[in-house]
Amino acid sequence: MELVIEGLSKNFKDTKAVSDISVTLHKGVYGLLGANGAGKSTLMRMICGILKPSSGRVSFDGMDVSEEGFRAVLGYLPQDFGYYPEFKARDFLLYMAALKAIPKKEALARTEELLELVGLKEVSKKKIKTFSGGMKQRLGIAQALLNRPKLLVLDEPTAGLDPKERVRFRNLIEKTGHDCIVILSTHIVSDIEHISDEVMIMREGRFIYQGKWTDEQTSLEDFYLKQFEEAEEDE
Amino acid sequence: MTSLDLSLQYDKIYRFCYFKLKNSHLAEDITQETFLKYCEHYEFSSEREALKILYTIAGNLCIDEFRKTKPVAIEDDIQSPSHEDGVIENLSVRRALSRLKAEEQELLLLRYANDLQIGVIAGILKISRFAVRRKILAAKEHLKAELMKEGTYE
Amino acid sequence: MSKLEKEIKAAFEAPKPQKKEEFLSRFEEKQLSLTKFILSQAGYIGKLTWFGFAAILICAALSPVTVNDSALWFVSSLMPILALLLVSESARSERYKMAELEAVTRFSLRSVLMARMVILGGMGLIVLAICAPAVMFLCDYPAIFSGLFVVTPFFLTSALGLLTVRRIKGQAAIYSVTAEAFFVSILVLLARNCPERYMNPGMIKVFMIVAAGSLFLTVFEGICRIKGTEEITWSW
Repeated sequence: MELVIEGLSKNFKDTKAVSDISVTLHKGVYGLLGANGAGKSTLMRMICGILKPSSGRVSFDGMDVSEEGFRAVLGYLPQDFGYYPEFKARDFLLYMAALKAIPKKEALARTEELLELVGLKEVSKKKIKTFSGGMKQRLGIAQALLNRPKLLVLDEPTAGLDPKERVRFRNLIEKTGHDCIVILSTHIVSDIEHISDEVMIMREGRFIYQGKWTDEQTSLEDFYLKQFEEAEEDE
Repeated sequence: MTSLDLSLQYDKIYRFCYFKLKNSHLAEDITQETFLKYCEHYEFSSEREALKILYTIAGNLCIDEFRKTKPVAIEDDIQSPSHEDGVIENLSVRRALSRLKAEEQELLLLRYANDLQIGVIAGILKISRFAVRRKILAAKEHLKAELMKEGTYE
Repeated sequence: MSKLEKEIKAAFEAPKPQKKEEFLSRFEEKQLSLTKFILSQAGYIGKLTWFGFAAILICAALSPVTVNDSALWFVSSLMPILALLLVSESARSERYKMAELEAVTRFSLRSVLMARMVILGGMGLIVLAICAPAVMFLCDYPAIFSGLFVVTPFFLTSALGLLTVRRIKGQAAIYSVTAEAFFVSILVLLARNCPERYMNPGMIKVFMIVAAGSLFLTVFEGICRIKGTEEITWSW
């Protein structure tokens, strides 16, 4: 299981949103840390094949990001998403399951399983209109898991979650990270402090740090700030 | 699969695998595995794409199988005749074919037994269409030469 | 195929496969075909659109009886509304911010959009196929004019609408398309006041050009939309 990103760049008019990112990822949880505007969402969108890079390549186990096979193993939670107005939680998941080409019987079973997993079973027949931000986010995570993805890309998944939900989310991700590649982006350090195997810190479209970190001496927060200082010194 | 006639392609992939493995049971197992693998990743490709992918998967699975076990031709296969009429003629063609290089035999199978288009064969073998045409002609010439040696080709 | 080629084919014959039927029947059960997908997408077309479609069809069908000689104008002015409904519905993914989620699935946004446009286009054509001939036979005006008068506003609105949704994002696009539809409707109603101006032989050519041009533009924009789904998901 290997995600290979080679020389990925994205330019918008005169800004370089992402500059020459190259990294190879294996099973585990990868935290993508960076301030707003650092290029995290742009990078994630390119990894998911939604955005065409200006240069570079993304491939998973030899499949290029543009192939149907890549999408078949991908689960994505965007930073901001909507829903069709009349949808109830279960309708939403069944709709997404159909788009992921999951046969009806399996889709029904999987939907129930996931609603249970993210704690939305009691409200499965309620309209998404009535959901809180945190509930909606949990639904988003559920849809990302429908096709048992081997690559899970989560863009700011903890935004809008209260502390209890954050903990629940962390546990969920830790479990998932055993069998697949999870990339999750955030600008809040504590989200990934305890669950990431590796951390990638992004600033102005580049990785200023990439690798494992251990919480033996410094906390990730200090570590994160330190990287920024060092990056500034280099400039 | 949306654009393929499954029954027809099953036979063709099976023929391809049988040619490689010379064992009908194994060939069928690999054929089924090929279709299953295909569906895991692809479903809505065009017919051309689908064929290229199917043969590539089948080819790789056959190679893996060879590495694992050295498949042996089984009793049933050797005894079942494929044709009642023209058996003798066919036998000499088969013998001549078996004297060709594996690569040449594969090309003739893909083109004449499985009716694949030149473009699709080019995609499977990852060579140019020009090369495919050239090699097929060469293989046919080679086959003719072998048949003449036997004295059965006019 | 030459004799040699036939013999080569025969030479590669393999012993009959034993487990084929069983495998294929199990296998085919698991497949979710493209046609099934398109049909399933029909189920997700908004209720308002179906309602509007039915309402317009019924009104148009009843018009020769109820509004009599104004039937042609009535039906023609409904056409832009129909086009509006269909174009707005096609932009569902963008309006409700589902485009990104749909883009990352196996079928992908492209298939969803294509399925939607096939269904909606079909609905549009059904209405046209019923209304245009009906108006051509039942109205007093020359058939060719009646026909063109029904068809042109529809394609004009759909062309403008599709042009708009590709270039303007979100809810603003829907407002624009609505304005365009009403604009075309008003043009139709204005024409009603001086029919002689529009129904002379000289104008046939003009109408045909506008109709053909709009039809072409509709199809062209529709195809570009399906090809360029990246523009839909990325809003910078």
